Amino acid sequence: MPILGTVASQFSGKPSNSFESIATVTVGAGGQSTITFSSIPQTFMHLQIRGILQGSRPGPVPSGYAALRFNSDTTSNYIDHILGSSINDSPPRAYAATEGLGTFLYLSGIPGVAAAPFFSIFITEILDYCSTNKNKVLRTVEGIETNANTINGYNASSVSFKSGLWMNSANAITSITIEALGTSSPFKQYSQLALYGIKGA
Amino acid sequence: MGSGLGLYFVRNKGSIMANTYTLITSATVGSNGASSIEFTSIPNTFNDLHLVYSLRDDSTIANNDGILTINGSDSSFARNYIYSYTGGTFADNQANNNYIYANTSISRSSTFTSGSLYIPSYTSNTRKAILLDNVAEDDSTTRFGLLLLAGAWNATPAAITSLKFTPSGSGIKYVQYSNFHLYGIKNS
Repeated sequence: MPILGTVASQFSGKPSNSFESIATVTVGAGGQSTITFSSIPQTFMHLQIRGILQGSRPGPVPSGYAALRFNSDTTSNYIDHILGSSINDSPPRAYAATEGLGTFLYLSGIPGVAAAPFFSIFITEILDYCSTNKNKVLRTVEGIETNANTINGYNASSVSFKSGLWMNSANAITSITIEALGTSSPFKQYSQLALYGIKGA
Repeated sequence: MGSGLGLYFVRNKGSIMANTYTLITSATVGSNGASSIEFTSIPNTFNDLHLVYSLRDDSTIANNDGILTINGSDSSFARNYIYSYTGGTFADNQANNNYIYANTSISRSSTFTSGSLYIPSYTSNTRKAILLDNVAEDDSTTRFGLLLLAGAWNATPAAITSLKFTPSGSGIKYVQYSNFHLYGIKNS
């Protein structure tokens, strides 16, 4: 029998904060190739990561990428879909694409070469990260603006709306790793990732 | 107090910060499914509403849409959106309240749509603006969907006191573990 779910607000009128900082990492002067949030508390309903990243890809292609993984899973359990403008392309164009199945989720457009000393920005939300019944889905907005029509002949700016799927319904997310891709291309100083927890009760 | 030049001084002087983002209520679908979810008696003590949802229904089409009803009304809605799916990417403008696209029974198992719906100034006596972003993931190239939507509810201006979500199609239900979390945002 279908259940008509009508939920009257039980709000007590005494608000408590439902959005809390869990941890923040800021890259120091020596750079950092991998940033890991480990031992993520299981006391929230949803997670949000807000970040700015600058890489050190040597070029001539101006922008690099980063890989996002959960629970150190390096098998082919990830897939992305993208709606956005192209990066490392000229002239810029709108496009939609599927990436994967792969061994990580992409974060795109991490500016690298010296001619692009800008930070990319992203916000990603992960609902039900503690669930042992659901695959984990990311909803991400990211962008990069390098204040130049082209760098080394490439369009180096872009903006994207993305989804990502980690095909693991059995395990809660306990760690998140974001790794700069490319040999000897660590994230540069002042890159920062902030992990937030959103309460659901 | 404004400076008169379009600049505004930050007024917090180090005192205890107000709670600006607060859970109002939530709903999780049980094992029998739910033909709709409705939040009633939404308090008018916040400035904005933010709803996040994790959804899947038992229809058999890719990315079934869902109906948003405000204060019991299904009329006076409009939406402008861009949508990317297996059939391509397109933008459109329509006068209806088909706002949410959900994963369905033909999606990869255990995969639920992730979405966010934001309604600023929901207690004001003006038309309501709505911003929605919604992703339906899948491990195929044929059943995913990315949706960005700007909506408006142009009914007789009134504070929003209820929100209802109904999957499209006769007898269609949201399945177990689907959930909604409604938050209030305060700006002062």
